[in-house]
Amino acid sequence: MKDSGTSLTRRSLLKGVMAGGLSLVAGGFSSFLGYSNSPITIGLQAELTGGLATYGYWHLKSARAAVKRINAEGGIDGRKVRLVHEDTETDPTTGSRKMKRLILKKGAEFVIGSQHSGVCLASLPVSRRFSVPYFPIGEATEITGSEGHEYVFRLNCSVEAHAEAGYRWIMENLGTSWSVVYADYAMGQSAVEEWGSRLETRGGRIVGKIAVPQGTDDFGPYLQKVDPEQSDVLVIILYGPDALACLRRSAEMGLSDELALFGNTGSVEALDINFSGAEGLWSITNYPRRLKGTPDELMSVNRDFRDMVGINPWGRGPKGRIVDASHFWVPWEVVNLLKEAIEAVGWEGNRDHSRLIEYLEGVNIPGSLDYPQGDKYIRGVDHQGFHSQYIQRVEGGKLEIETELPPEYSEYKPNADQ
Amino acid sequence: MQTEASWNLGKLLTVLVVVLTGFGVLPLFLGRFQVVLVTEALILGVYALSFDLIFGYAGMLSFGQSIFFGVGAYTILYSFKGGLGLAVSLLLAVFVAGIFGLLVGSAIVRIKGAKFFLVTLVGSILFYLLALDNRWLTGGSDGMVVPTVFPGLVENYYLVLGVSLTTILFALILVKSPLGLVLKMIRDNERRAGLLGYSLKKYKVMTFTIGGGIAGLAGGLYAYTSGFVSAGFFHWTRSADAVVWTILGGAGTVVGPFVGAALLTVVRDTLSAVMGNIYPVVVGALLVLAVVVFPRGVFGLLERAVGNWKGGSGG
Amino acid sequence: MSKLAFGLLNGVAWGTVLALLSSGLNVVFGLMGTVNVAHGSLYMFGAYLAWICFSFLDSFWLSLIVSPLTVGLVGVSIGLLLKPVRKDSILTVLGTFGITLVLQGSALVLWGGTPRRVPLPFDSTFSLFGTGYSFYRIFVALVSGLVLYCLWFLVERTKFGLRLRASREDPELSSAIGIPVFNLFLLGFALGGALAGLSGALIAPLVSLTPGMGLRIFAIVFLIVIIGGLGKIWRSVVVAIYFSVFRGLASVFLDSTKGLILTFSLALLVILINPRILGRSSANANGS
Repeated sequence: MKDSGTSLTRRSLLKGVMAGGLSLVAGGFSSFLGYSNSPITIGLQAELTGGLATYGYWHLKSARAAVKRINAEGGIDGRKVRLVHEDTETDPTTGSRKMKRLILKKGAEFVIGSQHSGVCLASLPVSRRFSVPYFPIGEATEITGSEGHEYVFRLNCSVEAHAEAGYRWIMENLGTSWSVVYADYAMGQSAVEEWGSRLETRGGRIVGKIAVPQGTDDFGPYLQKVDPEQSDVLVIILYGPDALACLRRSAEMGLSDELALFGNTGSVEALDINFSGAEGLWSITNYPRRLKGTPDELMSVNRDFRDMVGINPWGRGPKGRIVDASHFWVPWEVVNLLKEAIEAVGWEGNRDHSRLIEYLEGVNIPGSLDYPQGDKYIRGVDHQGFHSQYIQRVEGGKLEIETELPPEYSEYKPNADQ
Repeated sequence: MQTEASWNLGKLLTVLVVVLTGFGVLPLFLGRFQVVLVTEALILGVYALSFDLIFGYAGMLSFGQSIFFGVGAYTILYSFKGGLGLAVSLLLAVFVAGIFGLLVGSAIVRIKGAKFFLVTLVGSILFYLLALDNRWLTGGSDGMVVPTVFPGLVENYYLVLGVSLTTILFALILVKSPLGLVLKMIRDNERRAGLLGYSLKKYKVMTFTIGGGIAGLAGGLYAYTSGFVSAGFFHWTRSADAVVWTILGGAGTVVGPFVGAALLTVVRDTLSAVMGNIYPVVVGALLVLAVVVFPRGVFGLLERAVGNWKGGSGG
Repeated sequence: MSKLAFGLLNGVAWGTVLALLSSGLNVVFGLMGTVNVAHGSLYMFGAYLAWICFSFLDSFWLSLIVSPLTVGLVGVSIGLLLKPVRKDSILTVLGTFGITLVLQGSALVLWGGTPRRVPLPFDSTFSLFGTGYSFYRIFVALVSGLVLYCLWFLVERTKFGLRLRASREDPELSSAIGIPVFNLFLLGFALGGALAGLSGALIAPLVSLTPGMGLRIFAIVFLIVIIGGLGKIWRSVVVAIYFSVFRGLASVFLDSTKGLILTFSLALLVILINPRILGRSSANANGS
């Protein structure tokens, strides 16, 4: 964009000349002309208030830690990184306005997106309109599917990737007859389609699909529809308070004793699972909450990574806040990925976006301190990232990692043509 | 009469020229995001005005305006998907939302007072649930992207400005028209208006239809300028927004809702940057203050608007 | 068959708590003609107090006293605040809506959006038609029933209730014959608040606590009060139970959100088709 904070006042020109002198040696002449000393601005669109505020809190910490580390090590291509952020209030309308605020007012040249799928979908047209690369975290499949466009990259798994990796594991380990309890709004509705259709094409059976409206207080009538004799597994696709309420009631009703319980990512994410109803619950996650579950080769980098973000080995931060383990690493990794891409293609400003996008399409990302979640790649055709996922279980009030599902497990058929 | 009318016309023209020039040159002095913000405030002002016609002029405290806002927004989505142009789509949004206004209005006008509030509140909850439940049609809580290419920010601004001014003009003519005068009479003294032979129901339904159409226009503009729609457009909190803006801006005036919407949009944007959580607390406190401290003073108009609800002695 | 029976009994159990919650609104609305939109938020506040009692004072049971008292006091403050506009139904709706925003917003600032949990005070369950059912639910239903009975007694059988009703029927006459209308107004608010606080505390171990929980339940409670008839405590108990049984059964037979849609539509229909159900206050409140 034209006015991303590069107007030449006398002082900034002077600073530019001085810094340019240095970068002439290091980075060549072109940087001297335009951008040499101006910082690179990365925007973060986070849920700092509202229903997903627990997530946004960590996303901000994660992004800040990444930027701090990069700046301490000399910035990107010699340029400082400036992090700007806005609160979406967990509301798509506000989120879309905040996206514009980040780009138009705060001069964000890249935006790391929100956890809320509705906010992400509402922000996609803004990213396209202003040609700003956008890295949403929300899990709706459409974000890199039917609604995706060339500026959109998602590093973390979508709903469909969870289903792809998870359903086989459940079929092989827990059983082929499922009852599904799901949140009756977009996230739950699309997830139940993805999980259910896969199960059925592989010869499994959905005994009952039970839709629960948002904010249900009394789970009794819904859970009563679960038939423990016909089904092996109760798959729980719920989020936050609803997941808590459902787990407690199924324990009370004795379902937890008769069936294996399997939860989606959101059913344990950032929640305190140390209560009797959650005991024995299986679930899928992008990243272990506790350091203990990290693969050995990544153990030491993850220890450092957690230190820098401010998370202890048990997955808790200041005041005992529980981390959203499945997602909090994304802002950290996106910032590092941007550094890698910018330095690789010699990105200097928005006019170089197409080269940067080309670099990101199909990029292989090795696990390291820059990418502590582990090895992953971005599929060129729909800009969707694939990485390891983990099956975990609540044992003695703690989330224990049971097995790792490698990145290929998650790869589903792309449903976008770009 | 002749001279008074022409003097009114002259005054109106002067005001119009000043306003037009002011808003016309405004983008020159604003940053790009401020243009976005002002554009949004204008759209929300149109939306708040639709509530004000129903409440401030006809005395019905409706928490159901979001129904029509949502209907208008989704009309734009499907009209664009069907390949229709912007002007036709906006007219369609007004029309469809107006029909909904007519239907909803006919069903509920006999209900009065606090129960009217409840019925309209439940009505918007119902529409929200329907939108959640029919994801194939609405995209549910995640919503859908409106298939359109954004025009430039400043072009958007002028478009919205044009539509807002047209709506204001329409509203001014409306409230000065015989219909508007009858509405005021109903609002101020429902029993007398009934005794004079006015069919209260008919006039109230008419207002509800017009209010619905204008809310639909706002929803349509919103969907067009933001490029997306979602079930959340129907949520009753969006109805509550219109109520709050109108009350704080001044109910029973045409410009008040715009002032309220603009001020609170800016306040919200500013507070969100400082301390996100605090906005509802501030707005709630302002609302209590407005209701308790100024029921007869600054907000005297509001008082008059609800005069007909005051117990049996209100007659 | 056992599903139906379960739905019925579970519905009755929930309905009683819902009835207790609506009775609080009923006291303020039905008897004083004032709509307290903040009633739901008072209930939320009561539930959070139970969480505070449990987490910081280590006793859930304490909250059965602390919540009604504290929330009753909040009720009184609301009454004091709204004193100037207490005769105007629309201004009180707007005013209490403002208070709702303040209460809910403060809960968000104070306790955050993370769902909070209060464990069941006793763990034991029994088998109800093949599925486990906590004794605590029965306890809650019994306590609610008892409190409702006391309330009924208070309003219908005591001098205080008579005064309360008299001041509602004819405020001017009541003040003329020396009944202090305004103090009764405050007392009504105190009672309504205490009932909301108690319902919140009782229900806290059964649900996930979020700042939005109060507003969510408010529309349902308001519907119950209106359909049941204003000021009629026993009728709103019946409607509450009917409502909660119906909602439970609807969700057994219909897909969930559809069940909710059906429930709300029917409730609306009842109100729209038969405005006389709105009871005596409709004659008082609209002046026509």
